[in-house]
Amino acid sequence: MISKRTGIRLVAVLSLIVLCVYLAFIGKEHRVFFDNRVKTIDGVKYKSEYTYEVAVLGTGEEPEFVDLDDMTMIEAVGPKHVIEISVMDLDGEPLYEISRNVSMGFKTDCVLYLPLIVDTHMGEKD
Amino acid sequence: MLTKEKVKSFLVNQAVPILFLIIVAVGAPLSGFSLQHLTQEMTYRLARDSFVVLSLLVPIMAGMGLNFGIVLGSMAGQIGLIFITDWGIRGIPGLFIAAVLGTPIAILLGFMCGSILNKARGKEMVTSYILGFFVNGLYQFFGLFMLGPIIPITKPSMLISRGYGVRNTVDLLGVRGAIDKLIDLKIGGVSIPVATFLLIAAFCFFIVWIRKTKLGQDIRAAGQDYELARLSGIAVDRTRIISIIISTVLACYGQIILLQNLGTVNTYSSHEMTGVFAIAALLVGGATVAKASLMNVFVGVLLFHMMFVISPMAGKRLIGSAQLGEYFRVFVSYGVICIALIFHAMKERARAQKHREELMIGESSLNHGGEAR
Repeated sequence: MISKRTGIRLVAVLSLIVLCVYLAFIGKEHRVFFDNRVKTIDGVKYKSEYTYEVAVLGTGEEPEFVDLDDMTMIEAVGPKHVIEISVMDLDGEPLYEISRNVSMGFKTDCVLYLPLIVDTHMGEKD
Repeated sequence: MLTKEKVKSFLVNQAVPILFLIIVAVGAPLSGFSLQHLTQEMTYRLARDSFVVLSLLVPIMAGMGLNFGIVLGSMAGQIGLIFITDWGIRGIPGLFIAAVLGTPIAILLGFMCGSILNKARGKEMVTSYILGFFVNGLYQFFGLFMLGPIIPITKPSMLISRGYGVRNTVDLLGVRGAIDKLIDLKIGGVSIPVATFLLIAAFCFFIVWIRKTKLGQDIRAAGQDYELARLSGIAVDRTRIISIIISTVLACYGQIILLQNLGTVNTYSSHEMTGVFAIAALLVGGATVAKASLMNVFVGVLLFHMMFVISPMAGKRLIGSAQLGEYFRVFVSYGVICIALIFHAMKERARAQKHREELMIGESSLNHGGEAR
């Protein structure tokens, strides 16, 4: 039988572990990659036709430019992020903006394939 | 009323801080630094180093002298920081987790240190100093051979090119200034890291509070007279171990605060000088091997670090070489430790001699009494 004192200590240690897991969850640093290269996903070939300006809200950093056949990376802290993608034509003129919520959990890296996001966005609009 | 004796006693007891105050007073104008620059430097250094120096107070209270074993706590703190850097946990959550990871290691090392110091009673300082070297060997083995192949490190950039062992320098960009910048107050162009000072204040209250508890009374009793405390029923050895554990754990937190301010860990050397720096600062503040107060900590950190800031520039302006100024600082700062230890040894010898004489007088009076009867 566990004594009251041991019980309290066990609960305290367990609470500390739970708190640490929660803190690791909210303090975890993630690398969000924005990929704008030609890629085949599930048998469908996606071409990069636009350039982009991407930003992860809350990081306090300026939006990053992603050229054709290029990729960039933004570091962000926390489990959930709002990502803003400004789609531009090849002359650099903005066409429209897409906003997406991304849940990262404990993952370190996340790759967002921009042509696929644009394709999905156009599908949603249609 | 101030008598000649009182003034003399004050000057003798506070000779070291007075000497440093004079050097600083002469050196500060020579260095050419502005008052604002010096105030800013001192504010940062006070916030950065006070916590580690405060961790020395409890073992002094317990009569164990200056605990060079705080480097053990520093190593525990660094292990925590290495892990959170590898796991990519940033900011205050990262520092909290580093502290939680470091705590059991510090408790274990503190327990080991306390147990060994109990076996080397009367030679605690030199034992803890050498113990620091021994545990440093274990730490280097851990860092160079266990991190990577046995304990996984996920970021290859943290590993030495051979594939195992942590690099000599670990960047703490994720937690740099996390506590300092939490509440950043600006007064007259001087940035004050309020959150760090709040932590230091909490530590000071802890020191004041623990003195009033049963444990604190036991620690003080053990510090005043080991045998008398033991005869009074106090578990003196246990009390001494607890005081070393407290010191080691607090040194672990102190090292985390220090390194988040610096923003980088020298994996195999950051902890090495922690003990010597902290002890030198405390002694410069007017503490002795047997007695130290909160005031000694803050005065010591201010004066010791003021020497760090002004000596190279003062040396450059005075002699034309910053290196000579730095040599002078090293000579004076560590000479202070040497002098304090010599004074302590002389006092101890005089006390032992007086004790022997008293015993001899007692014995002879008993013999004379016996003959008379």
